[in-house]
Amino acid sequence: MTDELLRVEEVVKRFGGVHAVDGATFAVRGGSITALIGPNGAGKTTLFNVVTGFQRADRGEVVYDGRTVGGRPAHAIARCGMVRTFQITKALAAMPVIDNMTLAAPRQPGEHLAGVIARPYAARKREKAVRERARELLARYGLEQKADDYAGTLSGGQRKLLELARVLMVEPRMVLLDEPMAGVNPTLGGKLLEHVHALREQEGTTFLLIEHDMEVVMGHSDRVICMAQGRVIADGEPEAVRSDPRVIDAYLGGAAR
Amino acid sequence: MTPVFAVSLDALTSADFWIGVGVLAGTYTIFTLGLQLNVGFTGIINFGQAGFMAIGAYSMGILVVRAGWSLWAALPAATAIAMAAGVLIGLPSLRLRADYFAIVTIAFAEIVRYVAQNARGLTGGNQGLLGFDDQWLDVSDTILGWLPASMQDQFLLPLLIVVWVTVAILTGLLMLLQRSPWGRVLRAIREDEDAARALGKNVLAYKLQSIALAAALGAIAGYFLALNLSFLSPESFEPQFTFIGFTILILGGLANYVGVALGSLIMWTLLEATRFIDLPLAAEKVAALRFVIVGVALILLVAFRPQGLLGKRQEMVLRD
Repeated sequence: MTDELLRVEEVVKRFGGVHAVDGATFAVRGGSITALIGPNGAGKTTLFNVVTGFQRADRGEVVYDGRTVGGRPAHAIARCGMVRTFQITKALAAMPVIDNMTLAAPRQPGEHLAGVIARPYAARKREKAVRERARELLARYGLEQKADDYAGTLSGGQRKLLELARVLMVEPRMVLLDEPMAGVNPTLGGKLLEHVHALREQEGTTFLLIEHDMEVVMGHSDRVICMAQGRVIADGEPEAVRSDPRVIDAYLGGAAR
Repeated sequence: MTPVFAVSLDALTSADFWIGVGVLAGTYTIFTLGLQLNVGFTGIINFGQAGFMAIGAYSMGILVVRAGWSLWAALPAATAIAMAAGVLIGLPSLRLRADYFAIVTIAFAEIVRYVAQNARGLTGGNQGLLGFDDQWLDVSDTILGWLPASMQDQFLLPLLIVVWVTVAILTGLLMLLQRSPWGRVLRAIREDEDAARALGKNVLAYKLQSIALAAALGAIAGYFLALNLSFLSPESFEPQFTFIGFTILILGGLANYVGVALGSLIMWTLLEATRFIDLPLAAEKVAALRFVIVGVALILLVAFRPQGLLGKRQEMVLRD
């Protein structure tokens, strides 16, 4: 595949004797929405952690945008444009929603001690631009009324929206969403998916998402990767993966037929 | 009927008393500003602030007394040494979980104190280190000269003025930093460092900066402590001083720089005023009782106003 943005090759991650990820290999095409499915304990979140630099792989390689990611710290990977969310939302509760957003913007000279002192004008100018962008995104995600409230006062669904909006402030090329639909009511969930599609279409953003809701997986992704026991057991078009006997056996069970 | 318990009010109306309290409160405000930066705004538990204070004060004293430096050159150099110590302690240990970091820092502060006690050639050990404040005394006399004649006999007044001017400047600077994007990253790390990391923030670098600045504040507090006592001895840097700092922090309220000054003033007024409690008890029992009274006051505060005097209750409640 020539247009792949992320490649995971033979990645192994052990915790003591447990092989959480046990030689997983797959690729994600740029501009696609790829779903990562599999039973609990299949190693999906661990794989996310390895890919985004939160944990170091014991073996194998992660290549993002033609460059090896392995061993680089998480913040550096995020700055390269591969940004993740978490299964349990990490809204910065005791900070206002708007600060959650402006925090995420890159290239703010005022984020460095030297910049605060030596470049106050540049910092202020950047802050103004960032604030504008943040307000714009909050408005698009229906959170503009909440901008000045503490993020801790948002509902679970609103937090998921905030997390997605906040990730976009980083100006990502690739977004990894860990169970974006979990705990979100269907209306908000539908909105969230609309936003994902809109971003893919308008900005060409690539999405890799861990999801358990099979309707979402089948209806919204271009490609599905199924993991079980730390390995990739199927990888292909949604329909093909759904009817794959190994996937049915390991994950879907008889009911999904 | 003779009262069993009395506070002699004479002491509380004397200028000496309040100047003494003011110098101590100012010194500990600077000390605790560092803790506020670490604990209140970055979410790292620094139990070694007394160690940074000791490193700053002793570096200054040694540079002046043993190496013959000018006090004015020794002050920035000693501050830099304390900051370097902060980075050195932080580099290996800030990757640890918050509670382990706390243990490392308290051990570090004890190591510093034991070194001060035993490296007699440099620090004078328990005999103490003297003679570093000649240049300060000249300045102090000059300031005294500017004051009205009626105040000329208060030789600690210049120190009081300088310490509180320093408090004002440092508090202002810290508030400015806190409002900057830099301060916003610190708060994000306090809330959830993984979230900050996922958004591209170099968490370790920010924590190191926070510790280094706190160490500098500890060092500056150390200079005032040294000038106040004219004498450096290891027992001035016992770990309990760090905990007095934490008490001030809780009293004034977390994540509020102005609260630190308020907390420090109340704490030292209480600690010093309780010296004059007149009880038919041995002196050391009265001394212990002072801390009991302060402890009870603190328990009441935490029970009825857990956010401290100036802290924001909402921020406490929202943080799981």
